[in-house]
Amino acid sequence: MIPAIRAEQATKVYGSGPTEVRALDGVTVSFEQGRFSAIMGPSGSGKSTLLHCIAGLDDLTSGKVCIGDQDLGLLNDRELTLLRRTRVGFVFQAFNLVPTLSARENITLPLDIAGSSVDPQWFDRVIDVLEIGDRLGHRPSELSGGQQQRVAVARALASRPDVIFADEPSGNLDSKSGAQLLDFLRLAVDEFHQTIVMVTHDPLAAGYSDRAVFLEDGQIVDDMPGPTPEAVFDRIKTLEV
Amino acid sequence: MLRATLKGLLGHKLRLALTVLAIMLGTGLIAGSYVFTDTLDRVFSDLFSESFAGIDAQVTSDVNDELASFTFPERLPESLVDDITTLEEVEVAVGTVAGLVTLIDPNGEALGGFGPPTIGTSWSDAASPLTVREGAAPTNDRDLVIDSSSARRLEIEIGDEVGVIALGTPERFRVVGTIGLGGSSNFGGATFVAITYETAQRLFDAEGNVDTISVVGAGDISPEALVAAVEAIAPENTSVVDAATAAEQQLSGFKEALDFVNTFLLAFGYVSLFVGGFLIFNTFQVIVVQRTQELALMRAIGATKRQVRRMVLAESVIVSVIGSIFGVVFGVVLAIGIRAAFSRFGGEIPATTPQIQTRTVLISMASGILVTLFSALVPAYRASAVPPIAALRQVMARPSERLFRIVSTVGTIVSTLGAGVIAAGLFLDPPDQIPRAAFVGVGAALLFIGLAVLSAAFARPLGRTLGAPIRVAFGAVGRLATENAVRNPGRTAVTSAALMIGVALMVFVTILASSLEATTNQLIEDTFKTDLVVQPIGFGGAGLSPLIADEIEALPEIELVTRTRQGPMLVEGDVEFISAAELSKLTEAIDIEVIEGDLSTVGIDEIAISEDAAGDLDVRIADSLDVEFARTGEQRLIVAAIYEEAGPAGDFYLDLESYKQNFVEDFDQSLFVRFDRSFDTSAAREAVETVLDDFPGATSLDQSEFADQAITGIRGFVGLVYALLALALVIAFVGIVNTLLLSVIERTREIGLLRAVGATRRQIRRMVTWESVIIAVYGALLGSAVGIVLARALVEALDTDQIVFRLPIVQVVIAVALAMVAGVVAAIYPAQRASRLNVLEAIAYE
Repeated sequence: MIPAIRAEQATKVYGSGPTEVRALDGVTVSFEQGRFSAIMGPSGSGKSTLLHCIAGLDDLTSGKVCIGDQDLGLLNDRELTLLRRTRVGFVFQAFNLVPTLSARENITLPLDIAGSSVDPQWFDRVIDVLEIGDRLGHRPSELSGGQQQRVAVARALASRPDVIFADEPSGNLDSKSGAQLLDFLRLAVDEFHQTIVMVTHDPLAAGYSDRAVFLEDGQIVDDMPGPTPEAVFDRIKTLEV
Repeated sequence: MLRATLKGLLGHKLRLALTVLAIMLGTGLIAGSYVFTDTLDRVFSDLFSESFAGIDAQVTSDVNDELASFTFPERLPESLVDDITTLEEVEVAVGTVAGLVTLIDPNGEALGGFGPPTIGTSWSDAASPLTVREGAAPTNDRDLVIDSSSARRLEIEIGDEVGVIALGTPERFRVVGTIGLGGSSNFGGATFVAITYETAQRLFDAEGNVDTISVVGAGDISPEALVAAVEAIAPENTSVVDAATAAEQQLSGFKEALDFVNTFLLAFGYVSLFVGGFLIFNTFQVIVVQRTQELALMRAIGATKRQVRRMVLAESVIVSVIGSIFGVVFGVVLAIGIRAAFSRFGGEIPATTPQIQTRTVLISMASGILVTLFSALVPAYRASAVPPIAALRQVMARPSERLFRIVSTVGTIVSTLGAGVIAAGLFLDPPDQIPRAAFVGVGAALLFIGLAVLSAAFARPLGRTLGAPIRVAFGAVGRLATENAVRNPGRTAVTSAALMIGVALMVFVTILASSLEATTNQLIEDTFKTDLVVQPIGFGGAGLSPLIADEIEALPEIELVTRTRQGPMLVEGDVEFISAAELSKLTEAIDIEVIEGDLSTVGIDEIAISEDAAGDLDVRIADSLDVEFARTGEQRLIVAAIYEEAGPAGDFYLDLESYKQNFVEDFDQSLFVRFDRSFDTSAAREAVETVLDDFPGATSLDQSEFADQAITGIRGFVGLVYALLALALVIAFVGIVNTLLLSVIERTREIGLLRAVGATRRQIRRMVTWESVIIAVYGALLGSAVGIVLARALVEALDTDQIVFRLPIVQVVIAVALAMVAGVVAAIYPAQRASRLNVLEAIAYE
């Protein structure tokens, strides 16, 4: 089976000469379909850069990234946009929603932008699973932080993308809402076989995933299947020392 | 605090750039008005002082000052020149004969046309400011000299033949030289020709008479002594003044006209600046919101509310000073543009170094600074209201229901007050010291501010309504555009209000113009009973030679010719224009309804008067009316007829014979010609044209041509007003760009999110563009509505059933369509910027 995401010798360099920063330094990694993967690492390790590059938000200095069998390096801005629209979903740490649109409109936004219609059964099932059915008419400012993030997850799921990228999705939430959100992401993987790649520095969050990839100074330093918060925590300690 | 202010300014260069531009455009027109009129003032001050160079005193008939600029005084007897010359105080005295002429090129075409007049004068070697530039002075009755700049402009060279029409048929002259005024060739745009004294007397029908006597004193006699000596022998009703006083007198009438032009232009300057105020307000509002955390931090570390407020106001002052300085420079450029516009409309205006006076700079800068300060006042208070705690958390103020109510109440009160003040100015009798225009101006400003506030309360529902078709057509992008347009109702309202003002004034002027056109057409249709009108070409030339009427009357194809003339008189201290005609024939020529008395029998010491004027002057039939003519002084006339005012008939009519006694001018203004029905119309016209071939300064117009000419005049004026209003519209346009740009910067993150979830650059561009279109159309619709209401009110206030109110539906549709285009164009740069946003930067948190 083709992996959902594949990066080969992915390298991203910012600046040049003495100010050169190698945010990614020859990363080769694959993320399997239907699984929940976590990218871990301390601040400045390059984990966000990796996410941006494999999600088609940023381009590589050298190397190659594929989503399915599509090489992102071969696409121009417009093709990348269309790819993000149809094959990728995003959940950011904050500011996920357009404040002028209702929750329902935010969820269908990528589909509306693409001019395609919503599968009502799928839509109902998603909002049912995420328990936001009674908040659909509200504006983001009228929702709690946890509700806002669930609406963001629903938006990411709505178009049934090949992969959802989540960047610290629980980072701005209190521990209870955060745990609830991660439960929903887990549920999406188990129920809908959704592929999710999540960046986090939180061992508790990583504990929800099937696999944790550790990054340091732009390079993969470890790959842990079935991570538990404790194991991740121990691993991180060794990284940060 | 100053350091913080400066840092703040530098941090918002882009945001403030358009504010500087708006201030520059607004103050530019104010500075431009002054520069333009000061420059003209300079041209004419020079001209009038040059025209008395080499002369110590001037003798003319005594004329009321008010009438002097509209007419010629009575002539003086030639013998007076000799009497003055014999005085021992006098070295030399020279009589001058002058009048308006029309120049004709060798092909028989009139030269010049519209614009400043062509003046013919008698040549004198002594006691004259005129000097020969090239060639020689005129010595015989076929010689003529012309001022050098006109010679260049009209491409006349020494040795050429030109024709001159004064009162009779054209006479041919040979150009023997060019002349200047003292050392300069500045005749204020007028064309000056000089011929020998005897020829001038013959041409202007002034044998034995002179118009003015120029006197040079003997030795080093003082002007006062000279004037006293001449006065001692001058007959009654003669005015003797020294050269300086004479120049001043000539200038004063001109200065009055210049003041009027200045006020007219300044009005548009202040409108532009007022519109700019809306943009400034928006900019500072947005900057304050965007800097909430920074301001809160300042408060947290100990800045007082007052200091924060001052910081914002200081920013506004610095911005306005920069904008106003640019404005003054721009004003000089505009003055040149205004000159060009006036030249198109009113004829050549001589060029000279632009006059930039200290007063111009001070007033322009003060206006710019005050408007900016005033506009920044609310944002400054808002900044000082930011609590220190806001430094620590994101405070997102949401407009509340209470705010909505306050906004609608304040908006309603202010706009009602404005409407009331306008109505008071239009319908009531304001106190004498305050002109009606001041009421209307202040009222309109209040009305516009009130409507801007009020429209904030309705921007949301109205904007959504306007956006409805866009939602349908463009789905998600349309919905986002609509919601963006109404998410800050205040900002949208203020932005569109700026456009509203420009559009309202534009629509107002358009309605008045089209109503005036319709009225003119109607009047001409109703009153024009003859087949042709013969008129002089242009404004500045002479009138019609009386010979024209004589010759046309003699044609067998013609049944009737009625001549009319015009002139000024004083009635109860005001200058009024009186028409004169062969009253026995007038009712044959135009439709004029006599209410009392008999128009056709109005005699020498009698006058006919319109019903309106009779009411104003409180005179009835057979009452006497005291008037003053330039030539004959005070006269008591009996009201012999009262008529309903109509079209070409003014408020007063004299019989032609009476006019001839009371006015020096002996030429006709227009002739009404009716054909003999037994002849073919085109043949009859052909016959008239053949007569006119000998008089190139005259032209004949049938009814529709006559109407067209009247309407061309209206359109020319409207064009000038449009050009001046355009600046306000440009500022409103810049305001839209400004708002969009500020919004795009503010929504960086949101746009990044849209891009991340799959919006293409093109969709982002479209979103910003439609937001812009909604704001623009909102402003255009409001403006059209206000313009229509204001125009209607003015027509009501004029209180005459003669004005036909015309709703220019087509123009309103065009205004809205243009607003849409403007919206699209205004969005180009902001949309480009939005679509080029770096997605990663937009979604970065840390």
